[in-house]
Amino acid sequence: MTSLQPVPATAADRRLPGDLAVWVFILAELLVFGVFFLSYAFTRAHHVAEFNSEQLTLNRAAGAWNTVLLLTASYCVYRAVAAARAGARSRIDLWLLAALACGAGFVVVKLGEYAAKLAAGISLSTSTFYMFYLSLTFFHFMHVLLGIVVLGVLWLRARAGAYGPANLNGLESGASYWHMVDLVWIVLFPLVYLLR
Amino acid sequence: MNHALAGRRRGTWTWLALLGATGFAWWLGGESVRARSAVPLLLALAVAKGVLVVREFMELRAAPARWQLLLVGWLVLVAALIGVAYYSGVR
Repeated sequence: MTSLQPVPATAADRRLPGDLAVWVFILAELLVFGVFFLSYAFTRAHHVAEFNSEQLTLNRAAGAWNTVLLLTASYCVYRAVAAARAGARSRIDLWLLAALACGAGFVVVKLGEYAAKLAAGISLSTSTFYMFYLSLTFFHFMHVLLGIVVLGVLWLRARAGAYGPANLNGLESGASYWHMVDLVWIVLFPLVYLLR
Repeated sequence: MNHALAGRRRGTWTWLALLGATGFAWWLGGESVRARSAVPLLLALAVAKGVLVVREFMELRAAPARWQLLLVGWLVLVAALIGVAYYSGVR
């Protein structure tokens, strides 16, 4: 066997992790981010030279490190769910704490980036590119902050012994939200920092 | 090997593949690579990474198929339209 949850043999065995409501929320979020990404891409088509030169002023290494931090946080959350499913209660909160540390790392790197741009006199009204860069990344940043709050609540509840093989719903719901934040960044990072 | 151990290994390989793809994308986005030729590859890498997150970390490969279709469909559609926008912007 090669899977945590063996792929179910019949359609009836297949299940969505967590609450259905969280998945509806995730779809709505993806729709909003999708519209935002496409408005960036199609606006850029009319300002190619401006976007290309200003994009080169972004800190690509910071963007890449933030990708690593979000992916690692997602991996830690995945391991927390796996620990809960395996009944290894003591490891659930440790993995969640590791995920929280990665999330906090993202916040620190991002704030560093914003501070550098602010110090260079860059604001929303500087140019169309910076308007998009600041608003898109900040909109995502707010989602990271909410994700950290969610992980914090999961961590507290895990410490209180709330999760186990028979009680996974809350943990899986929060985990799915965090993975969505990661998924959106996977498109946002190349779009805003790399593609030109 | 039991399910739990196999699942952890699968998750770890997924994570390592995602980190590798990120490093490659970062290199591709650098100033040494001709930007225009990197566009399709960067979009394909983003879709591949997204599919891994959707199937493995979100565990949608074990969920009703329509959910995987919805999320992967979102990824492919967004990436394809970004590609269209980039090529429509060629001077």
